[in-house]
Amino acid sequence: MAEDDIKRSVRLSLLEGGKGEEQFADEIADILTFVGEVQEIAVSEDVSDVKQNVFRDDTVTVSEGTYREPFLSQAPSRFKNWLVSKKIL
Amino acid sequence: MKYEEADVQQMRRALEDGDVTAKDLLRQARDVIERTNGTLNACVALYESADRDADRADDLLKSGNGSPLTGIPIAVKDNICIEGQPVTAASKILEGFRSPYSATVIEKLQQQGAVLVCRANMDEFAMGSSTEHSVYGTTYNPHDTERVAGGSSGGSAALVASGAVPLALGSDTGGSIRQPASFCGVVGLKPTYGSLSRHGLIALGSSLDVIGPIARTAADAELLFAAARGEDTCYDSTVDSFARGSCKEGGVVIGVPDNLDEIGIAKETMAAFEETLDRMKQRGHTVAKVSLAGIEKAGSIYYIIQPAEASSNLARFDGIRYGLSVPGDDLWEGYRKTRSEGFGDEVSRRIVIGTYVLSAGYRDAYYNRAVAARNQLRNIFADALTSVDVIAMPTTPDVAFKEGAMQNPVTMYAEDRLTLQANLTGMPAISVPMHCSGLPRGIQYLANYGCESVLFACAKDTESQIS
Repeated sequence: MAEDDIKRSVRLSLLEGGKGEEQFADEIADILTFVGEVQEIAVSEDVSDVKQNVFRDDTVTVSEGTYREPFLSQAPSRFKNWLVSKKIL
Repeated sequence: MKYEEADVQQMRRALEDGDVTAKDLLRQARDVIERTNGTLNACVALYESADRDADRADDLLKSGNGSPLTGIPIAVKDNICIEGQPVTAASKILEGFRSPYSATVIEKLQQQGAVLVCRANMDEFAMGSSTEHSVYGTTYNPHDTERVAGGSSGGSAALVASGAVPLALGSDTGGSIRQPASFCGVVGLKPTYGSLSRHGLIALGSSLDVIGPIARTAADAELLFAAARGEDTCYDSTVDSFARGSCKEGGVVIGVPDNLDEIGIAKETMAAFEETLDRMKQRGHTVAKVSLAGIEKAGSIYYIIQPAEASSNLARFDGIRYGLSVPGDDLWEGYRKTRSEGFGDEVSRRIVIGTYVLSAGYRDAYYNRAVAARNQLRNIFADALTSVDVIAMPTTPDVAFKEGAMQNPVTMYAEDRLTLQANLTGMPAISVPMHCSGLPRGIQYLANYGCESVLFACAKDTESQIS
């Protein structure tokens, strides 16, 4: 998106042309231009699925052992334990 | 033992030998804060509960049930909750709020007899790299009081550097422990994501936030990390099993990104960095180049994901449930007025950016793209760490800057360009002062998940170059 489009969009959609907010809009437009560089990053297909979070793998191999990511495998039992510990269950 | 210069081991010995009591150490911590806070503005308030903590610590010591942190004064960043105590995240919107519960890390430290001395200043809701965005005003650098202490855990780093406390808790979302540690010449660890519970930490970016230690020495940081880490039933993403990496015989392999010279690092910082690596080689470690293509784009990824998460997390501050409440003619006007008065400029900017990048029509272009690029970055680091044990970089491009020098938000964001990668990948990283003249400069080591012990070993070897 062109910088002018970003600025116009920020002003119209977020600030509604409010008085005294010109500098604020300019700063946000600058930031959006900066973060817009994310579109220049060549992202390969296998990581483009946004449902996968940073810890999507169950196990990440490291040089001396394994780090087990427990979000998916242990979360239900942990939640149940928490409910029991709080005397909710 | 000179209190301001003593490390935790020395304090512990003095406590065990009966040369001092926990009450004495608390008194000395308060004396230093009273003497320096007018200049540094690092401490927001003293905890009313500190005397009780010190009494309990002395009882534990007398009964022989002390642990390595019993009686040790610790400062706590103003976004970590202690039951019954005020906590504001340096924001007007939490004015008058007292936490109804304690963070898990606080409970762990109190159980071990640590003495929680004071709330440390920070950037509002941890958004900033200078502690200039605080409702309490700027925190200044103990090495040069015209310069900032860094941020967002600037108060914690300045309190440790000034000798007020040997240890402090900070939080790190994009470099908020390591950058102020580097500016203030102390050690700061950003642990593996999930190794310390976030329960009781006021959330900024939930997939990025980590609580961690700031200390005078790597050994002290290791003690605090060991005492605070571990599984928590209140917080499902804590991890309890770690690959215990260790320094192999013959040293570790230190990887240096082959594109560091494209990142705009000051000449003096690069000179100190290269000298530090030379000394590490002399100590038996190996230094090798690694390819980390795309690390210079971490800023673009981070400043989409972090504001997106922040805009969601901060939606709870509506003037009804917490702190400041400004009445309006109707509910929506009440929300608007409370948030307009309660949030500072930087927080407002990030909320607007966050809602924008998540909004219909822009989500694919910004947020979804950033999440995919983040995954890719994680894979790049994981690949690099198959051939080296740690990755080394300077922690910051240059020394601490003067107050007001970074007026443009994007210029300020660029200050974090060497620290964001650890948060985006979830990997641990430590900043330790380098051997150099003038203002402090830090070197940062980053390792694979759960390999904090390798980081501590590298940090201790780096420290030994200074001593």
